Amino acid sequence: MNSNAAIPVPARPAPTTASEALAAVSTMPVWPLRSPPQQSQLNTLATGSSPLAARATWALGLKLTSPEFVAAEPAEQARLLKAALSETPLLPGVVSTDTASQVKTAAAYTVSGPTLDAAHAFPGSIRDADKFVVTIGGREVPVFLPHDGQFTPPVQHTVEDVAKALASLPAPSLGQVKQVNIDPIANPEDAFWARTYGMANFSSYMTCGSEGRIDIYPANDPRDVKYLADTLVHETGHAWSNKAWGDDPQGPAWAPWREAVRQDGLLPSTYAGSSPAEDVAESTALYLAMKGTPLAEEYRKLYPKRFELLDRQFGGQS
Amino acid sequence: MSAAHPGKIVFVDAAGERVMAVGEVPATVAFVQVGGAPVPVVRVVAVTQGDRREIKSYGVDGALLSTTYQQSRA
Repeated sequence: MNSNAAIPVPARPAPTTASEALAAVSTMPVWPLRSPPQQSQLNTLATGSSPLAARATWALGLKLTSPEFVAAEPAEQARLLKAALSETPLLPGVVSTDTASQVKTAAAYTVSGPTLDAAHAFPGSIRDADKFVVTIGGREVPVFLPHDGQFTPPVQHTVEDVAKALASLPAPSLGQVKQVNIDPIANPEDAFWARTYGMANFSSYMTCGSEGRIDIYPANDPRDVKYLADTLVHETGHAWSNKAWGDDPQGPAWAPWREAVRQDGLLPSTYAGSSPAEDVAESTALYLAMKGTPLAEEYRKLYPKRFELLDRQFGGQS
Repeated sequence: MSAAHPGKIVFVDAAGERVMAVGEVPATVAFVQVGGAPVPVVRVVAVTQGDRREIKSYGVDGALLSTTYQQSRA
């Protein structure tokens, strides 16, 4: 496992270990300012074997033993510590950076077809399609791609890519997917989004519909199977949280999640910090990826309140 | 579940909120197909961070109708 592969570690003097730093911090006035669960969380970071813990060795080690930190007032130490727990280099940009090390064995799958599906409705384009059926554990997912095999732009996932991605999904994520379209053209809405947000360099990768229809758009650059699977798992978090709590992450129904985020303190990724909706999607992806792995309990200690809520959604611990 | 569009769509992003009339946006943004019928979109929330953007479209009842994932090229 190369947990630091996606986050380069800058060339700096060899850091004090997180354990040594934590031992020092536990004697400082800032320590009682953290609740017992938060103290336990730091211990887990300092002594664990997760990718987060690996980065904590230098991310927290250097920060917590710096002269600035040691000399700071307790309130300032608390602020600095909170900041260190909310940013890179400790956190990954997205949780899929870390869950790569815990890839579970993909389920067996078969691909049958194709059969011709005349005048298939792709976004912005009606044309004949080849229909394949991917079967995973008795569950069948139809996959459509243009019969003429033409894509604009030219790079697109294959049926085999889709089958592999579906076979790697946790059951709750796979359960959401009812149909996959490997689309022949770029998302027709991209021009509107570019005008609306004033950024022309974004293009659509995927659209997930509420009824489990997935549209994957062609691109100029190749994307791997893992990226495809990660995006589908991330979407699982949006789907369940919207059904449970509605569309306003600042609304009262979302209060339990916001409180869990507050009590846990530590973010699962920097992207999770962009909104409570992204926090629940990233946390769900982390939870499902780690469930049943040797690191599950370690992550539960890092995000106890979030995992408690996710247990209720996904049927408890395992 | 399909219905006439209420007429306005609220777009929310880091810059704040802005309202557009349904006639100002493409039909595929104003309506999402659900069960073969067009369902009006009344709220669109975009989150952009780094090279990643998510655009979520919501219906009148607050239901999440679709999520589009975008990537940027440097």
